[in-house]
Amino acid sequence: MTHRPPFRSAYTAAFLAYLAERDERTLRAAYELGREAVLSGLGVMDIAEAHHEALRAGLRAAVDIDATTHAGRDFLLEGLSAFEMVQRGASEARAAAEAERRRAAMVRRLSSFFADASLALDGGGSTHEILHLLAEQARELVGGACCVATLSADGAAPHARAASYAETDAAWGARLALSDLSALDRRVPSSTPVIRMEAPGGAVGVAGAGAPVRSWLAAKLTALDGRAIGFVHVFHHRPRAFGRTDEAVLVHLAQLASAAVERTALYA
Amino acid sequence: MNDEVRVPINDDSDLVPARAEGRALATRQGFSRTDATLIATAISEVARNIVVHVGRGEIVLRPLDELRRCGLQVIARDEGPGIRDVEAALGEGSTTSRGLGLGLPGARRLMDDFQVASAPGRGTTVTMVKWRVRDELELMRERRRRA
Repeated sequence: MTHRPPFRSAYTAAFLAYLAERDERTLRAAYELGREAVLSGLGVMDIAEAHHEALRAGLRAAVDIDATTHAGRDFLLEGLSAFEMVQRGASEARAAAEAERRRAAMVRRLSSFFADASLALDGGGSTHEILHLLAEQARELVGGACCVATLSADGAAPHARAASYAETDAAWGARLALSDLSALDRRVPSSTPVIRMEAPGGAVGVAGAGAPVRSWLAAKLTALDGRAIGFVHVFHHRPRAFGRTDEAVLVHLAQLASAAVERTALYA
Repeated sequence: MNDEVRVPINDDSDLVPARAEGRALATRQGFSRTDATLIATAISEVARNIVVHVGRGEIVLRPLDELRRCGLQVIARDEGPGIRDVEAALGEGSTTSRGLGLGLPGARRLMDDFQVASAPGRGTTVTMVKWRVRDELELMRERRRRA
């Protein structure tokens, strides 16, 4: 996009004001101009043009060339700070898009793994394999420290369970894997398939967990008729470990696993 | 804390003392000119957020000194209506940044630590920190100072 002359004039006027009185008030004008440039779609090259013009104007009247060029550097830094924010945002967005692409590819591969597992002849073994796959992949994909997947019927105690945890969290994970999660199961609302909870100051209550659970994300496994057939819980000892994308990924994995479990029951 | 600086934010002109105090403290903490500029920018963004959405609040600036690193903590506090959905406010679609990554999301990216505590009707507190790792010489001095 091309620069707009009014921006150049405003930039030069602000720079000359800064040269006349070098304080925070006049320096702030550079930051505001940079911000305005970002909001109106100007680019770094427009700032470069405007700055060159302003510096030339400043040097024409300069008594102390060094002081003027130093002032120019400070003014330019301020002018570019809004672009720095945008640039960092763009880098973050690119990294997030790449992570999302990798995650989508992994979910596609998982989909076929779940299908293979559910079509295996040994129904009981397949169910266990599906739960293991779910626990392992859910922990990895949403970045949990521990994941427990269970199958149960009509609110009864789980008849199948699998857990996955990082080696660094082995003791904590092992305790969570054996914990009674029925109270957490009941907290997953019937209206939505997923729940996310943070407890930065305290802990999400898990009986017998040992170390506190500061982040908890759970999704329901549901049969085709809507019955809950199990749950997948992901835990972290760090607060704010999970976000909305993680919710969506966990729900997706829970749906894939639910369908695979249902198929296993059909072909067993 | 002795070195803590409080700047009341009542209107747009208060961004100037908030930035100036932040820059001065950043320089005292040994931050480079570039980092001091980024800190001043982050302060501007959170202070602007107070002015635009609430009208009044305060910025608290606090130097942090640990053995291996030192830093500058910035707390932006208001008693406004609070943020209903903090995660959305920190996302790219927030109204203040028009999806461009300015505002709170922009400030978050310029600082090392960033937390928002808010609830409807209970105001908002943004706490952010920029850290600087001490070099070897500084580390030796700091060890001696602490001995």
